[in-house]
Amino acid sequence: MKKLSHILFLLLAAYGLSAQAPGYLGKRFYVLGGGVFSVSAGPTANNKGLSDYYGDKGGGFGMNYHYNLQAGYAISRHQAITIMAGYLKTGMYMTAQTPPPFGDINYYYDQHELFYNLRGLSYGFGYQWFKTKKGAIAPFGTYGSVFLRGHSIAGDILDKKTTFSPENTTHQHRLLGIDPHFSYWSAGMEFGQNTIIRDKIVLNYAIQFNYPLFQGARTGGPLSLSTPYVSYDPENPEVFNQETFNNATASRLLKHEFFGVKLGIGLLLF
Amino acid sequence: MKLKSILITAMAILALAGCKKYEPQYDGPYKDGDEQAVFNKYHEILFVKAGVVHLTTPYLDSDKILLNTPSNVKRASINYSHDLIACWAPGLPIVVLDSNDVQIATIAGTENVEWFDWHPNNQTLVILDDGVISLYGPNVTMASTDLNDVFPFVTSGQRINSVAVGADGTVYFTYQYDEGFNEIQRFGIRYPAGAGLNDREIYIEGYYAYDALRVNQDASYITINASGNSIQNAYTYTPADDYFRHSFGSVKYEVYSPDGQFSVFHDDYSLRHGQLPYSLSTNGSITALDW
Repeated sequence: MKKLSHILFLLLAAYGLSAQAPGYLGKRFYVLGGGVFSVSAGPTANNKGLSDYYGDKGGGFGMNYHYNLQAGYAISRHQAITIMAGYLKTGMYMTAQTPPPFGDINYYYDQHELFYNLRGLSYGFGYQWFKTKKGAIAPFGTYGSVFLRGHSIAGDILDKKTTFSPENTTHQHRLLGIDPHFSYWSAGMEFGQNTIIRDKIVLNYAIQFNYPLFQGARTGGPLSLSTPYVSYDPENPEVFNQETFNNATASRLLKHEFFGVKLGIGLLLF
Repeated sequence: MKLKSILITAMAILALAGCKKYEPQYDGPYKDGDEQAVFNKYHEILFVKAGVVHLTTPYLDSDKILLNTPSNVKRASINYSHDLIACWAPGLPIVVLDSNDVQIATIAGTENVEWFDWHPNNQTLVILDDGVISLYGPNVTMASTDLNDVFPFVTSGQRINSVAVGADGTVYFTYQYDEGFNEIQRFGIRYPAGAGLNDREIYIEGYYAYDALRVNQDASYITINASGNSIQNAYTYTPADDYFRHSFGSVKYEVYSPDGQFSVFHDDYSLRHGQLPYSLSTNGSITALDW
């Protein structure tokens, strides 16, 4: 009996000693800097894009960028939690309308084609699961991830082309009345790999999907890329212009963020 | 190592690919209302309410206040290029400001003037004092500088109330006098020598001193308003057809756009657009209106 209990103790000890702790060589915490990139349909911040651009000059090959910083901590052999902060900049165009100072405002309007730069900060948190069956051990190896982010977007009009109605001989137009700010939450998932070099440098590459959780059906439906119709009231043109800005921004961000390739480089700290 | 080099190179290429800035193709950057140039461009209609000078737009959708004016301003005028404003408070000299709300001059000896208005050259202020016109700024030609010879003989209560000078030197003015028991109000026009036109004196039906005369930039519309008029009875004269008439509706003050396309008027309660349903509440009467 005594001999059996000794053998049992040794077997258990051997099992316990062979189980790996989380982390790469015991290091659980890493930081990463990089971005998510995708080929842009357009327009980008400098008016590039394969299919969409503003005005008479633009288009061509362009990239969507969303720069980010990420920190992760392995909470077990196959799980990690992350926090992230990011910055994006892209282009957007829309058409605003204002009534002329006199004449039939129900028939005539001044038209303003606007090119915006949209820039935004994002903050979020996520959860990663590592595929231990493929040899991964958090935070190293192949993983999947889900995350939630909040975004705060501001826009600047970089260019404006106004076509005055025939009635408007003053060639002055009413204020557009657009508040160029837009905030939203997005949910995302990511599939990638963390590679560790020289026991401390982390290289990350992944594919990422994001879906903006807009308030209301701003894009005309869950997967619609078109913007919904907004009715123009010449006595309240600011309402039309604001809704048009909100919808155009939502549509552009959906296209900008939906899919991208993530690349990052960082350090495994402790 | 090879993988690391590829990744770093790819990131550098991708980052650099987006560095070229956007170059405007049309009007360039734009911002509603915040820039001084936009302020000058749009806030060009002046009115005075409770001693404070306000500037608003042809759409009556925005109201800015000038802060560096004297207290208790009663009369004010803005030039046609909308970059100079003259203000007067009773007993104080006229103060001239630019559209950045910066005082640039005080005109001595103007404590008790009857009226003042900017000449179409946008630099000269035409000042009326005891029926005599004086100038602040570059000299301009005028049909007449002393209007006191307009009054008929054997009249009393003589007063030249307001004046404006056109670009060609035509002098428009309003005046009043007592003839027996009647107080007579008239609108006068003095043409420069060589114009081939006879001077005019037009009778104004009304019991109030018509003391606020305005001429739009191309002199196509002259509005004759009365500051003490409680029945909102203003007049408009159009030289093209020599037509002198009541302004349409309950109008106390009225001014026309620089090209005469439309007007903005005050009805003792709010500022209103002459053709469209725009209005700006002033919560009562104003003491000056100019464009």
